[in-house]
Amino acid sequence: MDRNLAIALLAFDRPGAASELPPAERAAFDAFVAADPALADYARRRAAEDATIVLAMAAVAVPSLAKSRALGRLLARRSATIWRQRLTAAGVAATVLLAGGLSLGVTHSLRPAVDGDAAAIVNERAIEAPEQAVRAFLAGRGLPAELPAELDYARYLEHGTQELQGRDVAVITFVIGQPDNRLDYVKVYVVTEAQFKFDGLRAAQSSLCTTTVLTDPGTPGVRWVLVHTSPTLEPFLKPQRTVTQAR
Amino acid sequence: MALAEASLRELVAEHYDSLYRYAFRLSGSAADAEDLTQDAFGKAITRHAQLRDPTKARGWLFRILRNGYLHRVRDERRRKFVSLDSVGELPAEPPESPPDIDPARLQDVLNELDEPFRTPLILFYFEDFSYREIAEQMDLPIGTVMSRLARAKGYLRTRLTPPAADD
Repeated sequence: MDRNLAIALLAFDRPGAASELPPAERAAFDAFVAADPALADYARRRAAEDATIVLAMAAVAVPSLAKSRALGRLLARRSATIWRQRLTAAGVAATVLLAGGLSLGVTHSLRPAVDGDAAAIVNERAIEAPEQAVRAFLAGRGLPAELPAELDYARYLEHGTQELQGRDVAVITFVIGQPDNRLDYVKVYVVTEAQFKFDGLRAAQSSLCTTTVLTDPGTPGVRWVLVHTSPTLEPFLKPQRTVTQAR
Repeated sequence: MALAEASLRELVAEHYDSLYRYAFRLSGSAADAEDLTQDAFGKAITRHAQLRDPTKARGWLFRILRNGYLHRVRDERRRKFVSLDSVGELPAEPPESPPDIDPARLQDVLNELDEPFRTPLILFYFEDFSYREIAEQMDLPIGTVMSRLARAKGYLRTRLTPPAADD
């Protein structure tokens, strides 16, 4: 340590406060200052000057009632804050409840009640006149009402929609009971060009099912994809009818 | 959640006076000091969750108060502050026996200083904020705080104490 450094450090010394130098460095600094009478005198005068400024700096009279006045206002402000927070929370809760209630109410009002009679009538129609029921169903979905194959509605089981590759597709199912209690079936999927690309759509066969694709020149935007467990469609057709297969 | 009433009373009882004095030295006005102090406690009511270490409440309150003060004077262009460019870094020779300093005169000199120099000076002479705490309150590197402090102290001395006879 040299004298200039000691003077610089004195400039940052803090009267009446803990030293910010590490203890070992502080001890070395104090020893250096003490060993130099002129520097020690300088340090003493610097400390006295700082102490005077500290006294002047702290000589601010706090108004006698300022603290109690402030506390009163702050307590009132605190109460207001708490009420505001409570009201905000209540408002949020009310909004959530209202929104939830409204949404529940709307949803509830939009949902129909289960009508057992309606379910029975739908099935009754399909049982009594399956061909008409299927025609109505297909027409209702904007599809050709006629199937390109003369399928025998005596084998009809059900109709509806089924998801095929993420698309909702109309499907009509026909079944034939076999002597060994096994069921052969054919499912007729009616697919449109709006739903699928027809490129590469062709007949296929796996170990359990056969896929036959039918077309109708009058409706080029529609294909009938028939998946059947029987080797051919013949068991499901009305007698003496033919079908046009896609190439 | 707002600060608990007991905690608020405790904070006010413990820190009101020092905060008021700090506000007075910053603003130079008793009315402003009272407003600034109350505003600082008011913000503490709603922001107390920011205070993770209760032992640092004092520094936290001082920081809130200074921010409130800066917010008030940010766009104020009326004040004319002295430039400290001409004030040397090295301190003047201290007098043999320092004269008493009139607190009002001290305030006048403080008012002449720009806030970036005034604040570290007040905090330095005020109770026992360390350089690191001052740096944290002002969001400045500690070296910058020390540099500003040295220049501000130099200015304060030249204005408050006559030069030593042996200079």
